[in-house]
Amino acid sequence: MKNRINVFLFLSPWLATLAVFWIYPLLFSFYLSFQDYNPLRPDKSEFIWLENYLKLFSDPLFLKALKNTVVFVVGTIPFTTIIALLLALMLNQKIPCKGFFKAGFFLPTIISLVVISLVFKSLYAPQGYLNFILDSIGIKEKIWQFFDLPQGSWLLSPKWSLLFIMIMDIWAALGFYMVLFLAALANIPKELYDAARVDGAGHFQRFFRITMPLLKPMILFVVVVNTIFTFQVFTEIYTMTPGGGVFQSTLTVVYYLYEKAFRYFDMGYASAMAYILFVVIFTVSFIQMRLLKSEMQ
Amino acid sequence: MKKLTLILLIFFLFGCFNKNNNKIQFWQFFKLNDIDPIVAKFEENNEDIKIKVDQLTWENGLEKITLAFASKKVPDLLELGSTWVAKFASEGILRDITKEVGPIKNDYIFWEPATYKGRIYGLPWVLGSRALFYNKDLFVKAGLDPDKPPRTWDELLFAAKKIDELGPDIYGFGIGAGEKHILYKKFLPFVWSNGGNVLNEDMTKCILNSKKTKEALEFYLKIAKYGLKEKQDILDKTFKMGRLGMEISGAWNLERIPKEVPSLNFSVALIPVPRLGMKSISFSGGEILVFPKQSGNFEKSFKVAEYLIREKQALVLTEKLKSVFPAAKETEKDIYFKDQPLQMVFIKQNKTSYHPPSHPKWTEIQDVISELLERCFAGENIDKSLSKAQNSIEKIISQHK
Repeated sequence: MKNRINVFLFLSPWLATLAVFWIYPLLFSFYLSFQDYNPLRPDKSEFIWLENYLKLFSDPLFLKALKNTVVFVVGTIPFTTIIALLLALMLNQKIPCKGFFKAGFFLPTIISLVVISLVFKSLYAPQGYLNFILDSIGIKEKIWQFFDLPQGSWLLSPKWSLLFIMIMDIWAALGFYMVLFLAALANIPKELYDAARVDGAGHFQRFFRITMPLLKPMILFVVVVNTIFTFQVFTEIYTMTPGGGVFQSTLTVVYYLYEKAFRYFDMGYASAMAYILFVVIFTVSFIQMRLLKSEMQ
Repeated sequence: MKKLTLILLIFFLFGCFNKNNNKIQFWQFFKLNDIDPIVAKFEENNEDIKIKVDQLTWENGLEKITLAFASKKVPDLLELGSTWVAKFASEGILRDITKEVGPIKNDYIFWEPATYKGRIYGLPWVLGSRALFYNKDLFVKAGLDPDKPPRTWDELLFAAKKIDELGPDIYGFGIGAGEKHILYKKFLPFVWSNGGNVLNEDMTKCILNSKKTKEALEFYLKIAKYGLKEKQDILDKTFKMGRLGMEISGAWNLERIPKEVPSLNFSVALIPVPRLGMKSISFSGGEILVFPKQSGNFEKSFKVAEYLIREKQALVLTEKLKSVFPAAKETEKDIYFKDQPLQMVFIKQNKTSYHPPSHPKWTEIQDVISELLERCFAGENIDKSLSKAQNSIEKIISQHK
């Protein structure tokens, strides 16, 4: 019994933090989603049942934000996963300066996302580096015409600004998942490859019959984790296109709910949005795990 | 049992150290380096009042303030942007100080943004405006007189065209784009100078859809052809690089340009008017000191605030930052401004400038104006866009009567 109390005491700081900063906000936010809650006047909040949720489905801005977020997820996950896997496969061989490359690719993971966003915001500016490179190759005018950017302001294009933020995101996420894949590759026993070689299996056969099946658990992990994370994209939008871009072209769900809570003082509505996002992410993750797990059997 | 008692005691001890009742909690947006000397001077002359100053940033200051009110842990003295006061006052969370300001009302200007439904809720502290920055070297290159900045819309258009023709990387005029929350500061000066406005005097009707606004919109679209459409920080940067002929910006550049690009040969002028003889009406903004109702330290906080807004104290900030000037009446007569011709332009500009309507739903209204501009830039029909905007704004103000 005494031992149990000691264990509890030692865990209590962490449990307290969990309760205060995770469980309580989770429950309070759920409670808020059924209220008309103005943070400036919390005493005037009213219980309005499902009004927030129903309003959301006819809110053109929320639907646009949801569409943008889904496009963001679907447009980045496949590329991040495949390129990270390719990088891991390449760096899993005997090549010089492996450590240097691994560190280099991993670098964006340890830099603050705000810093990365600011750097890319500068890169994408009219007098930024991207335009400079295009100019030195001599294709600046043609590219500007193709993307309909009369002044080379990449982040102000209603059609393409989201794409350019997605490209930045893929670049920033690669290193982390590459490291995960490298770890998974290292766990594949060499003997399997040796045995296969003896049996006369070629490169591609070894890859598809040994590597891929044994990597599936890690691929599943990477895809699910990346999806959960990417559905909550916020920092990039906040830093690079405050306001959500021209014609809300880069508005995402988390950014919209942030504005609703702190600029338009409607926290109940924002909380409802957060919970709808939770349901979406949960459903998608569940489906992903079902599909990819069954493939593994 | 002993261990448990020890741990509980430690928790209680930490709890007791949080009584800060005698200190005035002051939340403001200036750097501590800049504001501390002023506050220290006050404490010297007022031994019974101690002040704890916290610095907020413009990026997330509004967030922190909102959370403070939501959690009922409000500061005693708070600096708000002038466009926020109406919203906070309308929620009934600021103290009505109409009576207390009676004796000092005539010494200061800029009371309108601090007023809501006829009652005053804050003290005007420091002000800022927006004026026309222009690059003298580019003027010379384009064959224009560098000492004769454009005074009318026609002259502005002509200058923008000439400078824009100087090269593919050189732009004539800076147009705000992609920043929903400050777009109106660049565009409304043209509407106002032409005699138009968003709401009428008592804010009961939307008067945006008018011939005057349409003319301003058409001019704005015309000059955009010879300009760079980008966010404020990129426009400032392009101006500093010497690649932008003219832009409407704020006095923060008076401190930054000499520091960052001392070789830039620039000056500031009043915003051009539609025709000679008309008043140049720009955006007028500032900082207001307010007193959250929930604070129990009103008398002391008011003393601090009344001290801060005095011309001598506000001038300390003016001299250091150059981006603001005191709200004291006729502050331009102070000898400091004799050697500051560029800062004087901002004071002069401010005299004929408007503050956006002090309506609690101004944030929503400014979104409509930003969308109006986006649509027109995308090529939508001006009349249709204007009437759509008019309808949206009418809906907003009718919901808040």
